[in-house]
Amino acid sequence: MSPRADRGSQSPMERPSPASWFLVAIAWTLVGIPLGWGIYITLEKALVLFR
Amino acid sequence: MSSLLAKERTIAKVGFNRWLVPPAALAIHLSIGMAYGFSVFWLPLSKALGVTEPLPCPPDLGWFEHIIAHGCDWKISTLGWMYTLFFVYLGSSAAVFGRWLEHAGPRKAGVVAAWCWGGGLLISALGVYLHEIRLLWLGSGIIGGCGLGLGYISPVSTLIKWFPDRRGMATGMAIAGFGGGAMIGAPLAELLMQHYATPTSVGVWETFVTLGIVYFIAMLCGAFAYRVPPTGWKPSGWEPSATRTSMITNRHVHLYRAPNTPQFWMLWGVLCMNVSAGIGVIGMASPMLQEVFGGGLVGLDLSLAELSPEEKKDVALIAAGFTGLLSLFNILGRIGWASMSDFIGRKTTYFLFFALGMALYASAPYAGQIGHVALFVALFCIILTMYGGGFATIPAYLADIFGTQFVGAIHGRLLTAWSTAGVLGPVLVNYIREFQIERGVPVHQAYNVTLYVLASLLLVGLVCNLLMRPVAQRYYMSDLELETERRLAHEPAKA
Repeated sequence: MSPRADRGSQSPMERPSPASWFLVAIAWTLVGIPLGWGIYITLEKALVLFR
Repeated sequence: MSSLLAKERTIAKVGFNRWLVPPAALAIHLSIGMAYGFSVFWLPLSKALGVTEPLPCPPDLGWFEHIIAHGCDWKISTLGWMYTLFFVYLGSSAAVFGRWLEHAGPRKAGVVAAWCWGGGLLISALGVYLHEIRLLWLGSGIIGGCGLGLGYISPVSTLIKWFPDRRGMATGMAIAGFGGGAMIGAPLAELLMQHYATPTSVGVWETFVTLGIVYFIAMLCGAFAYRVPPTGWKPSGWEPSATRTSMITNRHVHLYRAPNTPQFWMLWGVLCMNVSAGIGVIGMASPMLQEVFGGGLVGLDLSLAELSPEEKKDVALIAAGFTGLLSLFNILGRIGWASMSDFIGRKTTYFLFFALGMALYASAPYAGQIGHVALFVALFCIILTMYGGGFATIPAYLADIFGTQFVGAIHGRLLTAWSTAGVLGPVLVNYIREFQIERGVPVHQAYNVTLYVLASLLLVGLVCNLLMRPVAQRYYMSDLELETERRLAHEPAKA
């Protein structure tokens, strides 16, 4: 289920507050940046295989 | 402080967004996942005293004398014991502390894991500084290993309760972090060691201190971001009956009763066989590519032994790229297969792992024989997605079969299969290869039989999976037992 579908399908009591989506973006960015860096380094090393 | 960690304090308030829980779990799993990347320390640690080259121990020094010696460098084989300690203590601590986790909640477990993993690295730093291998084993291996176990299972139950509609995807995202931890940690450790290295130090103890502090903070952030849903919470618009099949229960099996069911041991076999075969492949991936294709990797029609040192260096670089690619596919498999299992079912997913896996393992020697590097690499990349997928899909499989009340603790007990596989896989691969070479089989063909043996392990897993049936009614908890357990777990009654 996508975050958008979540927003649409939950009742007001259960619906995440609008501000919470800002926090979600920050939280995913915080874990995404180091993970993206790790993937970039790995791909860079793996490219040797295809040269 | 204790009230801050209390499970009651972690119950989500109205308006909480469940998509905040997976990044919290990732912060912990990406930190402890560095355990896979520890091999970056072996070479610098093997010359911790000599700095430019290893200071060898006297040849007549026995194993026990070697581990208490302070005047000579450690061997890489001695340092390699760290991996055994990691996986043994990961499985054992997950099995022992699983029930405590269900009662204490994920935040407390995450904080304890942060102390163990971060603190263990600091003890290891002291071990390197004093050149005392036992401190290294105690710090990272034993204390850190307990942190791995607690950290690994800490988000499982919580994620499954937040995402009853997408159990596989939710746990897959977290467990992918464990696979991805080394992709961040290993290059970071290399950068730190380069930064701290001096003419008199290889920079490892300083790196351990830095990483210990960074991981401690990251894990604390993750632990404090954990929230558990109120009892009975479900996403609006989602009805359990809509996705319920005979292989997904809405009842619960007690942790103490789960090991009495045949289903627990079938799943134990499923995980153990899938991981044994996968670990076997990971361990031999780099030497296998080099020995099977030799000079073919650099456009020369020569075997590995016939190459010059410069050419061998190029081949080793290509093999390192291959290993990196495998780790990437391992992570992709964790998210991809676990998410797909929400649609095709857990039993079908594992059927694919084993059936397709056997075909791929058995085809790999053919790809080597015809000298098709791309096909060989592609086969192993797909195999690695299924290795990762096996780890990531098992918590959802457990929740389907045993219910969600004790899923974290039951998962903890099942991880003993991982510890067993951590020994079984590499031992099988190494002994079969040595046996082949002693029998006069050419080095580039010595892996063929190993791959067939690993395929037969998958056959055992396939049978275990095919025998999976719903748990018999007598094993489920009564309503009274469930109510007692929920009270012990500080879960308020259904709103």
